[in-house]
Order: sequence, then structure tokens, then C-alpha cells
Amino acid sequence: MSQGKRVAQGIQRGERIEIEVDGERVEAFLGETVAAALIAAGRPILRRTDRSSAPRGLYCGIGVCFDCLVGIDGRPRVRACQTPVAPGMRVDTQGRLVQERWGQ
Amino acid sequence: MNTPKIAVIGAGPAGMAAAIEAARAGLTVHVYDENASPGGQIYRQPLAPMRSANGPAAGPESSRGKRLMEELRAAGSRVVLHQGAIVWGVFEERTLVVWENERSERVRPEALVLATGAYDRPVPIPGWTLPGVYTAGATQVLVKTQGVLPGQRVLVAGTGPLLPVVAGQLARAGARVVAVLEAASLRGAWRALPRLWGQWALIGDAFHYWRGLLAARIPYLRSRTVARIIGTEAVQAVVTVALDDAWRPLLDTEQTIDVDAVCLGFGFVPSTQLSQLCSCEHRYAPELGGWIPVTSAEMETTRPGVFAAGDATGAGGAMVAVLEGRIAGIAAAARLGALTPSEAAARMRPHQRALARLKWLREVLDDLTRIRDGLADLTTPDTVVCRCEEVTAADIREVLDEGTADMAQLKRMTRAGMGYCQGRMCGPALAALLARRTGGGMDAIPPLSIRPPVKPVPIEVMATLDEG
Repeated sequence: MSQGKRVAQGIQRGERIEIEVDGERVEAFLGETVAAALIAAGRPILRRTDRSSAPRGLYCGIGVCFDCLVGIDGRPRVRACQTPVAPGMRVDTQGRLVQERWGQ
Repeated sequence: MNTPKIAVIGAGPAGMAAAIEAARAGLTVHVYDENASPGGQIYRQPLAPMRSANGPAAGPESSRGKRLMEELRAAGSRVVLHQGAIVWGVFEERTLVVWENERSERVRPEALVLATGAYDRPVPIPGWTLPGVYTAGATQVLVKTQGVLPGQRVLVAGTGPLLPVVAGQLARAGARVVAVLEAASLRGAWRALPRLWGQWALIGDAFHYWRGLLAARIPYLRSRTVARIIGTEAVQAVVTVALDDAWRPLLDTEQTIDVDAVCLGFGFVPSTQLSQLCSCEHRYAPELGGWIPVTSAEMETTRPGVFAAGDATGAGGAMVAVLEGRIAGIAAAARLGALTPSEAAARMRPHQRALARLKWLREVLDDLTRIRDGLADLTTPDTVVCRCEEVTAADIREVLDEGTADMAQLKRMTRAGMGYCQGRMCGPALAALLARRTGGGMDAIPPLSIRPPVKPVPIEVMATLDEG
């Protein structure tokens, strides 16, 4: 399993906060993107595909590939690489919102 | 409708330089950029309140970025930055539609500079959709601006001068880089040496990164790449393979290495969606990344008043981008009457000269690391080619077997290119598969046609277009 990790040197982080990922509390720091916070937390799987339920994570990192789509605070398919974390933010990597809305 | 004199799309090195020069000529410039702050990819700034502390990942290019940022700041109110703004379409007469602050607005500038950059070339390799496989660009964003390592044991593979840079950044940040695999043989690299004379900044950069590789004892292997990536839920191992001069994998040369992240950098693909929408003429330049807009010595496209600069006109790196951006900014200002033709010519000349010297060097470097046809052999039948719609190489070959002979039909028959990324990821690979089948060159296969919105836009944002 991919093991992301925060680096101590070279970066001054913002305040430590907590976000909620699939109902679990996850540590994050202000100024991090949702994708970076999840990778650092050892959660590289950001979604599963619609057809084959294959795991997907961050790929291009610059907002081009749209493979890091997650649900954020009730809004479906938001790019995790382009979205900064916020205290109490609710992140859904399991597509539950889409399932509820479309009955899939 | 907003009607600025001049608009620049993209606030990377080329866009910043264009804005700086147009402002210097006395114009007010509106810059539209998707990110939270200017800098583009290479000079990307951490998101507030996070700050870079000039740590181990900072290289010599970061001081050049800082100087450019200072120039931009010195332009003051003459440069209006629209950060977090997505230009999702271009309609008649340079009319842009911009998604900013949850609404859409029309913007019709008299002169337009496209500085939309480039993105990492996607190369379909078995397992490349697994979490833990990152592009070189994604790796740099994570390490440099987020302070997050993508993994503990990382393999870096692909081609070009960015690979040792990324490997050095990973190593200094504390990752174990198991190897750097350069697909090219780099035979004939000595031809670049005389052309390096005078390019002290580039020599300094190269020295800095090579010293990093040596210090971290990272093996740098040529004529080798990734054959497949293994894992069920995320990357667990990688199988590497030797390549011949055409980059075809060689039998019985495979080797398996345990890693938890793979960084792939096979050069860049210019982002030409907007120049295509402007109906600019494009040409195929494999050594520059593929289809690029045709530009004059003043960086004007074939559409009058539409200029293009930087990696969007052929991947050439930040130094080339800044020079092209300055030329485009000066030329656009002259077109609007803010500079006389002789003033503009005098301002442009030093940048055009520096550009000519850099391009002379790049001709050799680009030829060494140009993507070779054999790379497509790595795409096995069950490899996903279109990541969005989960279309495999076998799906595509089946449709080709039925006689499909162009990109538009291939897209309609397979759904490849219809997903969220709108063909940015699978487009180059689809063209390569089609070219193989037709037996013609890649230059005979035009890119997937582009229609607005060029990036997904919520329907409620699109609906605000006609208000006010």
C-alpha cells in the first residue's frame, strides 16, 4: 500500500485541523489540498470507477485528468487536487452521494 | 461583457512575462488563471497559509521564479489577476467565457495572449491507473508545495531532463528513490555540448541536480522503462524492461522492484484547446510534444490579434516560456498602438536573440528524448487507454478492426475521449493507435475536435452567462 508522509523541512504548515473522510476523522493542515491530506494520511484511493469499481488516486496533480474526483460537503465529483481542506470538511471517496441521488 | 484591451490566459512563466511587458507599455492587462495564485506549474506557490521555507526541494529555478513574481508585483494595478478563473470557451471574435466566482462572464479583449501551458504526457502502461502512480508534475506539486511524499520507495521513469530534477527533490525530501529510468539511449548527447556554451544558467541547473543524484546514490539507467505496475488497491511493485533504440521492449530483460509509488514523466503535451477553439492553424511537431499553433517571430498565431507563448506553443521549459511571453506581450502592445513598431522591435530584439540561442540547444536535447514509436508496445490489450471511460486498448483495436479510420469516429464508437478530461489523457495514445493501423504518420491525424465547455462547468454556472 502506498505510504504517503509529511515532510518536516521546507514547508511551514498552517494550523492543524480535522476533516471527515467517509465518516472517519483525518488530520490535515490548512493550506493542504484534499488530495495531499489523504495521501499523507495513507489513503491514496480517492474514488472507485463507475464501471469496474477500480481504485483511482491522484494522477496528474494539476487539475487536468479529473481522476481525483471526490464528494465534498455534498457536492459530487470535485477535484481533490484543486480543493483546499477546511475544518470539518466532509469528504466522500465512495461515491455515496451519487448513489443516493441516482439510485445506482 | 467585460472588454479589456488585452487579456492573457494562464499565469505561468509565459503569461506572467506577457502581462509584465504589456503593462510596461502602459496597458492594463487582465490575466485569467485557474490556480489560486500566479506561478503556473513550475513556479507554483503553496496555498495560504502554507508557506515554502526554501527547503530541500527548492532548486535554482526558484530564484528565477521569484524575480518574475517581483516584476509582476511591480506592475501594480496595471495587471489585474483573476485567479481561480476558468476560461471554458472561446466564441466569435476572441470572445472568452470565463467561470469566476460561481458565475460565467463574457470577456472580449482586443488582443489575446494564450499561455495555457502543457501537461505531462500520459503513456498507457499496464497498472498506470493504480493509486500511487503519479505524473512527474503531480510528484513535484506534492513534494514542493504540499510537503508530502508520494511514497517511501519511489521509482522515477520516463524521459527528459525533468527526471533527475524530480528524483533529486524526492531524495532531498526523504524518499528512497530506487532508480531513475531514462527511456532514451542518449547516444549522441555529446552533440549538445558545444551548444551549451554560454547557457550558464542551464549548466548550473544541470550540475545542481546531477550532484543531487550522485549524493543520494540514485542509479540512473538509460534505455530502460516501466513495463507494468503491479498492485490490487495501490502500487506494490513495478516491472522494468530494457528498450531498443526505437523504445521497443526487449525480451528477457524484465526486473521486478518493490515500490509504493511510481513517478512517470514522458515529456509534455501542449494545451491547445483554446488555440483550437480560436481556429488558429496548428502543425504537428513531435519534438515539441505534438500539435501546436503556428506562430510568427512575434508569437502571433494565424488569427490576427491572437498570440500564443510558452509550453502551449511547444514544450520548451520556463526559460523559453518567459522569453516567448515577453515577445508576445510587446507585440500585443504594439498591435494596440501602445508602442510604435520601432519601439516594439527594439524591446523584442534581446528576447528574440536569447530565444534563438536556447532553441539551438533544445533542437539536440528534444531530439534525444523525443518519444519513439516502440513505447506504444507497452500498451497491452487489457491496458486502460481512456481513464475516464475505462476503454481498453483491446476495445479500441476492435473498433479499428471494423474499419474506423478517424479520431471522431473512434471516439463515437468507443466513448474514449468523452469523459471528464475531454480527451486530454487518451488523445495522444488514441492517435498513436490509429496511426499504427492506418500506417500513416501522426501528422496525418488531427487532434480530437474541441467544443466548449473545454473543462466541466456546473450547469448553474453556465446558466448565468446571459445575466447582466
